[in-house]
Amino acid sequence: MQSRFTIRLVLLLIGAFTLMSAGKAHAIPAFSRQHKTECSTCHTIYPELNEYGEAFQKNSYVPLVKPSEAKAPAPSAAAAAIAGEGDPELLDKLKAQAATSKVENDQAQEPNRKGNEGLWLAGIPELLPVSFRATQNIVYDEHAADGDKFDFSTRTFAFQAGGAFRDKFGFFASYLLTTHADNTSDANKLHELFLQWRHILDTPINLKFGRFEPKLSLWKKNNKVTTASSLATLSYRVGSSPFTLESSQDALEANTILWKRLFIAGGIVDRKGQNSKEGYGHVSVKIGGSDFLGNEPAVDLDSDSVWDYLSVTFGAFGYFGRNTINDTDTFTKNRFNRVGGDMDLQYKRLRVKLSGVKGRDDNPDFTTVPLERDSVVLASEAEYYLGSPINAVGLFRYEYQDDGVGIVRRYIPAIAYTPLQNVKVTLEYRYEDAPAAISRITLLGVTYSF
Amino acid sequence: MEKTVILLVLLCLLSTAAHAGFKVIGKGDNMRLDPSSFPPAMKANYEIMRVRCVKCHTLERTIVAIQTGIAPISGQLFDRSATKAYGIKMLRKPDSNMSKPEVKATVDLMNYLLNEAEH
Repeated sequence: MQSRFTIRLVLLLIGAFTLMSAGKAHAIPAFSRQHKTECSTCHTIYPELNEYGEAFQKNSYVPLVKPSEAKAPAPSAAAAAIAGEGDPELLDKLKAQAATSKVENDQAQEPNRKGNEGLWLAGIPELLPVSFRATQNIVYDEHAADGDKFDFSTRTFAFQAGGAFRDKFGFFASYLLTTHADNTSDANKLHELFLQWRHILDTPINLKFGRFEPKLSLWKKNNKVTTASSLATLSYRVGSSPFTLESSQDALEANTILWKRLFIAGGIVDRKGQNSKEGYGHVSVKIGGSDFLGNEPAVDLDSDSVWDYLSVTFGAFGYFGRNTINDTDTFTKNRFNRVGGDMDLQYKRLRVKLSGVKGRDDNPDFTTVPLERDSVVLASEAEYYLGSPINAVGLFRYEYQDDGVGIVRRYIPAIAYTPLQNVKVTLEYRYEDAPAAISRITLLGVTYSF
Repeated sequence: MEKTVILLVLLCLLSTAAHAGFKVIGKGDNMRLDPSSFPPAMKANYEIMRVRCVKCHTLERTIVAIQTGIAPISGQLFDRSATKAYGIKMLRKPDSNMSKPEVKATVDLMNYLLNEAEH
């Protein structure tokens, strides 16, 4: 009876939020401030990325501008503008360059060279590229272990910074300033801090170094609509092993975009307390939609095709590593591997995500007598966007998790509403059927970024 | 005095060039085009732009791109190939609710305005 009242109360709260209609949305985190654009340029429902956001991320947070597109002056006027005495060879070269508007200097090719020239020359972003993200939840658990059925105390407050040093380097940082999980170590509070050197030595290869989520799945930990839970394929653990696909690692990664629609990444991970390195690789290909460089597809405006609206991205990955229970004990090691694949399909307002991972751990409980475990995890999520512009989404997720000990199935319906593009309210219900017990958790969360 | 007059004349010339071909009304979020001098087909296209595009962004963004030849956010060249690319982008945006004929109409209008801005 009480739980029914609770659900009604939560639905009423969501309804009240939904009725608060808003006019035009003006979001203000770091990228929005820097590029003077709204959140929906890169996000469907913050922080889930749309295809332009995916391309921006792959492009090291440098605006997706085609090179050498500086507006050309009229040839005759340009040629006439250069005159004088001096080196006749250089003069001829300059005249020819101005007449054809060919740009040889890399700096001149760089877009958006405006504002403070000194800052631009130094590579320093004009605006301090920082923002903050807060998440506050109300969790209802009928069978809470501590008897506290309504928990208002689950929250996180994070500092984020991101941007580019001209078109040479991209950087990103994310640090948990506070979280309800007070056992989070300092190392884990720094979720990401990396620098990516773009097109190193004029090759198509980017080099990423620092602490970050190794490129495995198509989606990063935060690239989702729900407030609380990532896809099980990203977040599942085996035994006492702390490894998850979404864990941040100290790593060095090379990645590249080939033929505009193929993305390849590979890297090594240095785990504290061990000399041997770990390795991983990722490959993804996109069919339909805009390419990984953000170019729109060729669409015939006079005839219809299913590919006008359909895009599918397939990804595959592998990770091979070994760890210890706390990254310091060198006696009992767990050698493990994960291989998996993802699919991200979008057709008009519908988005479907499929993900699967197979894993093997040779001693995930770090016991003196090792016990191998094989794991298989599958996850699927269907989302349907609402509103024009998009300001709500309904989704349903199904997860199957076999960690080698027992099978857990999860059914998660959720809705999210954004009264402003930088404020999101989510209502999530999580039905978990595990060997030990069935749990039902309702979560009302609000996330905002500024 | 002479310098001031020359400066004023230059400013007038510059502003004439920037607004040649079509008339802009209002500023900022309220910026609009005056379609009274448009051919009938472009008047109809402008109605589509006026209603559809402002659902997600101001008309100022489009007008500035046409006037300057540079898209204000990306800094990308805003020419005839760009108008089609933006049209396709808006067609494919799940929340734009724009049909192909509507997108085609706005692309035609932007190309017409680019022509007008050049003359």
